[in-house]
Amino acid sequence: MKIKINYLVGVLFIVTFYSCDKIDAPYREESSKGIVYINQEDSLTWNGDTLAFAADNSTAVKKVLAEDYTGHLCGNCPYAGVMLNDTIKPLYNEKLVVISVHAGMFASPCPGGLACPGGAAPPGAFATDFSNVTGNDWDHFFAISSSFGNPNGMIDRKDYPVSNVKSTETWATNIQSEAALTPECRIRMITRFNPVTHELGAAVQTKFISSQTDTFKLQVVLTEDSIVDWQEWYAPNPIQYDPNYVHRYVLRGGINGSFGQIIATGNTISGDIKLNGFSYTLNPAWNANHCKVVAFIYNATNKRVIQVEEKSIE
Amino acid sequence: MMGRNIFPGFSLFILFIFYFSHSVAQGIAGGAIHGNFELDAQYYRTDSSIGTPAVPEKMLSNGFANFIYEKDNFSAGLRYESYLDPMLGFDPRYKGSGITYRYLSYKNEEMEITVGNFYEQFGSGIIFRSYEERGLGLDNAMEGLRLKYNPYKGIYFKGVIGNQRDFFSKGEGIVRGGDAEINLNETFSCLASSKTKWIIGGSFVSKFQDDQDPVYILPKNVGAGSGRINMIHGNLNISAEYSIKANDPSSVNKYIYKTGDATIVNVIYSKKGFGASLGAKRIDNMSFRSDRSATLNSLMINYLPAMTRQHTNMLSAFYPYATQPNGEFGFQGEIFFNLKQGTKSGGSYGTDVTLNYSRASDIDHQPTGDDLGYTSDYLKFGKEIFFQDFNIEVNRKVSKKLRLILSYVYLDYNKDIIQGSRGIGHVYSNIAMAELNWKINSKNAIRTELQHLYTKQDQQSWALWLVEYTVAPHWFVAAFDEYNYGNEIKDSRLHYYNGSFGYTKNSNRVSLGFGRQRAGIFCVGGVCRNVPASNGFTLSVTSSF
Repeated sequence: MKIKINYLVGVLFIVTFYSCDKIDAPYREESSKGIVYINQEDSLTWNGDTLAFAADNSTAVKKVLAEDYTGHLCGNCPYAGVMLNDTIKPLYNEKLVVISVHAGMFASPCPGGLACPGGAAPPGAFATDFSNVTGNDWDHFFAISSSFGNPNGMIDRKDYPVSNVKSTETWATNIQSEAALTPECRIRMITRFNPVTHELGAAVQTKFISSQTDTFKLQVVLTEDSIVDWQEWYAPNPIQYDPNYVHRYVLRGGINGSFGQIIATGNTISGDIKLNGFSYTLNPAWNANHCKVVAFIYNATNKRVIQVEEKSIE
Repeated sequence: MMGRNIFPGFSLFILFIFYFSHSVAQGIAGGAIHGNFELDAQYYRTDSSIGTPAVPEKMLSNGFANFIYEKDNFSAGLRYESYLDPMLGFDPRYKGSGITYRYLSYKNEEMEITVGNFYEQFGSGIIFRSYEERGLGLDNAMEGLRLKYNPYKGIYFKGVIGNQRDFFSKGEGIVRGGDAEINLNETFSCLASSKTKWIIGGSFVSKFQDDQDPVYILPKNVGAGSGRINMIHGNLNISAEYSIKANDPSSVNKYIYKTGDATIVNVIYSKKGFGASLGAKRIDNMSFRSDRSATLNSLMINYLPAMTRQHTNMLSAFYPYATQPNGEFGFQGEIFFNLKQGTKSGGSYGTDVTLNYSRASDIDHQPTGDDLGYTSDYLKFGKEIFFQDFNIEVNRKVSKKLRLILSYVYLDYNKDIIQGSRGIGHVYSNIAMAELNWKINSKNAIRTELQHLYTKQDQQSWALWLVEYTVAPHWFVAAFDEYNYGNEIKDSRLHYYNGSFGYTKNSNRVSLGFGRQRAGIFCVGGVCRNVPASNGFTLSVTSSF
């Protein structure tokens, strides 16, 4: 027995001893390639091009992030999308940033997807796959399509984890209350795009307006607006399968992963500035003229988005 | 995302207790249960003059109770904690109630096995220390398995694996480690009678955390190892420990890949009426946490002690030092001696004198301009001084009923570094204190303190007067006033008054207080928390059974 235990202790030591990973350069992922920081607050270079923020003491405005979880096979979703993009959005204009997240069963491409209409739809319909890793990760993490169904959404991801998923009829009031909040930080962005290589460079500057003690993350994603493609649309619209539906603000992917990166933790003092640079290569099939970088800051614990900003890449 | 893991664990615990106490009762029944209970509550009043934060709940409380069952080689225990809501100054993530600590343990002559929660430390703790410091709101208890094994006399092994407590949930990182220690004099009979005792030890700890970072390629497994030696010869005790930690980019070190290391050396000499100690440490990039994004006091795997004196008087503790895990060179020297009774200097009853000096400064940094961060000349000091403390204490029994303690403290406190403030820089303070204890008779005693802190920086000078009257063995009443009379801003020349009384009977103690508490920083052993200003009634109840 004693010998066996000696072996056990020995094995524990050996296993523990080898549990160590040595990382050699390069230390950064693809999204950081080509980025060189001139300083930590306002200047960096992307592939040798300087992206520098001028001083700005203008008053910050609280902007609101509305996430519409949808799918091209979700027949009720167009009503939610139209309401958000055509009715609510014009009330707030740039104060409201919308992301349409195609995820879940109703976002599956056809043929093959569980919700595909089969022979009821014309051949080739719904073949586009708008889903992506980031959208699927968000949908899975917040359990939206699996637990709540489509259409549903989140407004600044508030009230997590109890009632963060908001039904469409509550979007307007939630957006209104969020837009009335005092901004806690300001986001500015500078973008560069190389149409030949389809490479995108982005500098995101975050200035905290109020002191914080929690951990905050920066999430940067890419959206593409006004994609004309198929959409299933229940009655009363007589066209059940609309090939000319305009998909607004479609999430194309996460530039810094699905859950972003920490930019502030512990005591963050009012006036603190964080600068982050990103590199990303667009799919050549995407319309760069319609693409925007969306950056938002959220509390890592309660997931609440405290500020959001978007900028066209061209 | 780790959810609350309270009720499943509790159910398991109850099942175990039930099983052991009924199904195999012959070995377990008849044991003893003991524990303790503590409740601290405060009713907060708004006091805009001292900047108290709003407390919508009006009253906040922290409470807990430990229950420990022991029978022969078996023990089990649990702790129930309740923070409804956490008192000001404690991390709001504590909000809630539940069983946060439970364990089952069995030990015999050779081995001890613990499942559930446990606290443990390897060596001086510089690569692993799981502990609780309630005053700081710090609890990084492990939850998992622990094995202690003593295969031969003088040889000790420890092995641990588990997650760390993170308020009411667990950190996502897995911590596993082993420690081996040999007491040469116990193991080798030829050394048994040697006057020089040798203890040698070594540890290795590794943490696992997945890499989901979009920017950095992060090491999922981070290892740290240490070696230590302790020599005891008569009145002399010398100990040293060196540790090294592999690349561990984190929020604390701003995601650099440099290897970390730490060295701690202590030399202590003591005999009757005289003692001297000298300690030195060098810490370089040694924040080690089971979650690389964790900060403040959460999910710390190791413990980096402060090599400074832990002051207990209110004004000398005004500027406490917090260990700087990213880089620190520190040393401390202390001499204690007794002036014999009956001599001119020692007086009729003798006098104790303690001289202490400590200093902490930055280490050398040579930036590399890349993600390695910097290189550092091991023996070179950095330019920035973090902290200096020179203090002297004279403790004299003047008569059978009177004891007088006089102290002087000089502090150089780099507030910008230690507290992360801006634009204050160094605070140089001179603090003088006098404490008088008057034992009126066998039941009644009075203790009073006069303290003065002089500084031109920060909030400038303070004075404090405290008086405490004790009626043994049950009652005490105390009052103090901390007065920021030297504040350059007239409106901030405020009194922080406080009064309290309490009753103690057997192992139960109840105390009530009322008054203001200034905003500040509270530290234990170099680990600190911020305390906001408050004003209101306090209630404290402690009991053990």
